Order: sequence, then structure tokens, then C-alpha cells
Amino acid sequence: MTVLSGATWLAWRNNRQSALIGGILAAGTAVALVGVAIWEAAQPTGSAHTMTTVFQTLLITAPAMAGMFIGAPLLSADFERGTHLLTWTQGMTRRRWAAANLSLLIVLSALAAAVIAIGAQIWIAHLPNRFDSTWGIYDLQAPVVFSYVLFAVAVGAAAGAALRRTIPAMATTLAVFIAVRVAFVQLARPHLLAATTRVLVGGTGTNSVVPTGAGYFDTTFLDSHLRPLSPDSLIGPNTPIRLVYQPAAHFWPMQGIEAGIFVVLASALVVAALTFATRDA
Amino acid sequence: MKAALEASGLGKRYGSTWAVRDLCISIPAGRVAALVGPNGAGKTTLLQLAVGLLTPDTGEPQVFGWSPRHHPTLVLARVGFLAQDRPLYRRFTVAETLRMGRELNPKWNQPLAEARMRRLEIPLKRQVGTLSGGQQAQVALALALGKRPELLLLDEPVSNLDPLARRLFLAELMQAVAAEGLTVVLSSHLVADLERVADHLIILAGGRLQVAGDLEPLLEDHRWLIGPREEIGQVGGTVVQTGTGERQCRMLIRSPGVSRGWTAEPVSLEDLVLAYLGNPEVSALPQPKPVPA
Repeated sequence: MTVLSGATWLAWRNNRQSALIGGILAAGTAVALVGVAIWEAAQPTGSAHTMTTVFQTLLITAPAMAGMFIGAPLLSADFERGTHLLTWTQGMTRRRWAAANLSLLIVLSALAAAVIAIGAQIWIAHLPNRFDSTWGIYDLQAPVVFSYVLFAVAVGAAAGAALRRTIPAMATTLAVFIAVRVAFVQLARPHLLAATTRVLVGGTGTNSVVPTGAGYFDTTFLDSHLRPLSPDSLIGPNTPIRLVYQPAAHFWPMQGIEAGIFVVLASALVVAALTFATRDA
Repeated sequence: MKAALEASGLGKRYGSTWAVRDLCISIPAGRVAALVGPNGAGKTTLLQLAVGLLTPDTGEPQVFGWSPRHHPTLVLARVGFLAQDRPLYRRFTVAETLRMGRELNPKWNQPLAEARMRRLEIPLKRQVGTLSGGQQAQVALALALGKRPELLLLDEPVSNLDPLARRLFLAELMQAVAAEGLTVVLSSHLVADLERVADHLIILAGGRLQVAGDLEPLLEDHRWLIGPREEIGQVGGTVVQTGTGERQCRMLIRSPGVSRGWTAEPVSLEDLVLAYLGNPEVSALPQPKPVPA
């Protein structure tokens, strides 16, 4: 790579191996996703779907892996080997060094994340009626996959810069990523946009009322005054039900909002990493 | 003429422990200063403060008049630094290590660095991690010298090297000093390494300055005095170290007064350093210069 110069050259030289491995894994995943999608499309409808569980697992764990193996070692490796004393005493400031490494991380991670996310989107588009609704594969859609990868590598970089040890930084990255992701899905995601509330009285079937493609249901049985029933109450066919759900039209806006939140979080973490990384030797 | 490295009231604290405290130093340009002291005396801290790797808690070091904290790029362009244990990227080839110097230093002298490697028969294509310790030290020195520094800071540069590699390293260093006229501060706890190269001496003890000055006047100012034990009180000057035998007494004295019946012998650098290291409460510091009215 002779086009690179200065601190960027050094950042590339130090990280080209993990960049190469990460790139191959990302491209391989995307190719496999598209390949399977094309193969699926050629099959007669109703045939068994292959690799679905594998791809689901892959897409959900990929961000954490990227954070641990690419984000965490980025800055901690120099501190661990003492080579920060070498780079910090050349002609450039520590800030330049940290900024060059972080820029490289963000650019290459965004590229790899985009490749995987687009692959996932093509794969999803070619799966005929595989899932009950798109909400079931909310986590596999391009916007969230892309933003989770960026968020995870930023967590890794910040942890590596703060702890200055690779293994503790990797462990912290995994713990923080899982905690934030689980908490977000449980607590924040259903409320990203105002949900629709419907109250069904007199044994109306829920299927006839709820529009197709709705998601994130919350069902509560009510008494005759339309107050929530205590859990040990008896329930009959005419017990009123309150339904709270996200309509189908909210799917992509919610993807966009969630992706936006995680990109903003990633940016904040990159700034934090820059601050942590430039503290005294 | 500005001092190469100057500081007054310089202090650096880790928690409640002062690694360096109330340090006043002024190393004139062109000197090769030996920085001596036991482990934990503050040598590494002082060198890292000088290049801006550490931020002082009190005072501010000045490198050719510039503060490393406020003018990092001006200071970094003038200072070559070789950290303890001589860190290098072990997976880089020698050529890549030199390229790193070229990419990161505006005044980098590539032909000089390559010529140095050729002269030392270090192949440019070899991976740094596969070189001997002595060769790695030479690569690290070439990297520090290639940026054409005016001040070179070396933290224990020859520790863990075999005697031959030590000698080669110091020879290479002195050749560069002679050719470029740069100022050097090198720390070591092995006095024998310094004897051949240093013309300025700084001794640190417990984070404080114990001895500072040009070597020749310091050696001139100190004498071994050997004389009768019972007349010990009649000797003038500052006693650095006393050794009493059955009848005779042998003392290392600073600014000795003339005494009858006593023999004066010159001291070596090693004598001087060991005497001060063994008696950390004694100091030999330059007197404050009179302020012009």
C-alpha cells in the first residue's frame, strides 16, 4: 500500500493482517448469503430452507466478534507491547496516531459491515414466506446489522484505549455489547415509535382486527371496566383484550431510528477512545 | 544560548509518591550527559517528562526553550527518544522500521539511516524480531538518529546487551555525536558504560537532584584524602564518603581544604558516582547564579 502515508501508513501496516482476515470473513459471509439466496430462489416453493439458523447466528454474533477481535486490539496492542513509546516520540502527536488508527477502523468496519448487511438483505429478500412476519427477522436487516457492527468496534476501541490491555478489553467489549444490545431490545425497541392500542370486546378474534405485518405485540386481559386483570383471574372467551402493537408501516422507520441511535453511540465512543488513548504514557 | 534541556521546580507524582520532585536542571547544548541513579530514582520519569510522554505536576521542562506540553510538534521534531527496553515493531522489517521513521518525521534522513544499517551489516529485509539484541538496539538508535534530532534522550540504552554490543552501540552513538554535534542525555545504572562517553553528570536520588555539573570540574573538585585517623576533624570540605581503617582514614571529599599529613588522590567517575549513590543525603549542586542588578 504505497498510496498511504504518514500515520495512516503506520496504522495500516499494524492492522493489515486483521483487516485482511476481517475482510475475507465479511466478503465470504456476503457471498454465502447471496449464493444461498440465489439457490433458494431456484427451488420449487415450499422446499426446505438451508442454512437459515447458521446465517441467523452469524449475523447476530458478527458485530460482537468484530468488536472483540478488531476493535479491542486496535489501540491496546501498542500499549501492551510498549510500542506507543516509540510512535509517540516520532514527529507526530499522540492525537494523530490515535486519530489515524480510529479512522482506519471506522472506514474499514463500515465497508465490511455494509457488505454483510447488503448480503443479508439480498438473502432475506429471496426467502419466500420463511418467517411469520418481517418483525421476526428484525435483527437481520441491513440497517441494524450495519449499525451494530460500527457500535461494537467502537466499544472495542474505547475499551482497548481505556484499559490498555487486549484480553481485558476483549472481555469488556463482549460484556458491554451484549448488555447494551439486550437492554435495548427489551426496553427501548418496542417504544421507538408510538405503538397502536386496540381494545377488543366481546370475543372478537384478534386476527380479524390486527392488520397483517404488525409486530411487537403486548396483550393484556381486561375486566368489565377495561382495567387490567390480575394474573390469577379467570379468563373466558368474552374477556376484553387490550392489544398494543407496532403496525407494519413502522418497520423501516424503526430500523432507521435504531440504526441512527447506534451510529451516534458509536461516534461518542470513538471520541471517548480518542480521549482515553491520548492520556499520558 | 538556550539550554538543550532545562527545568526548574519540576515534579511528577503518582498518587502520593513523587517520582521526581522539585528538580532544577540545565543541560547545556552539546553535552553528553550521564543520568545516574538507583532504580526508582526518577530517571525514566525525567526523560519521559522531557519528551512530553508525561505531564508534570509542578514546573515545566523546556527543550531548547519549548515546552513539550504546549508545543508538542516543535519538541518532537527536535528530540530523538529511545525508551527503556528499546521498543520496536518486531514484525516490521528493518526497511519498514526506517519507513516508519520517514513517514512520521519531517526532517528524516533516509540515506543516513540506510548507510548506518549497511555499515553495521544489518540487512534491510530482515524482520526486526529475528535480529540479535545488539542489532535491534542499533535499529532503534538509527530510528532515533534518522529524524536528525538536536537532543537525544536514551533510557538505559545498553541494558541487557552483551559487552561487545554495548561497545558497538556506544561507538555508534559517539560517532553520531561527533558528526552532528547533538546533545545527549543517557541514563544508566552501569557507570562503566558512561565513563567513555559522558562529559556531564546528573545523579538523581529518590526523585531529587543530588549531583549536577560538567564532569571535568566535578572530578577536579573531588579528591580521595588519605591520612591519620585521629586528625579526621582537621580536613576541610564536604565529606561525601568516609572509610576508616585501623590507623588510616580514607575520605572522598568535595572542595577539600589543604591539610598536612594527608595524601590527596584523584577520583574516577565510578568512585564519584558510587560515593554519592551510597550517601544520598550529600549533594553537589551548582550554586544559584547571582541575579544581575
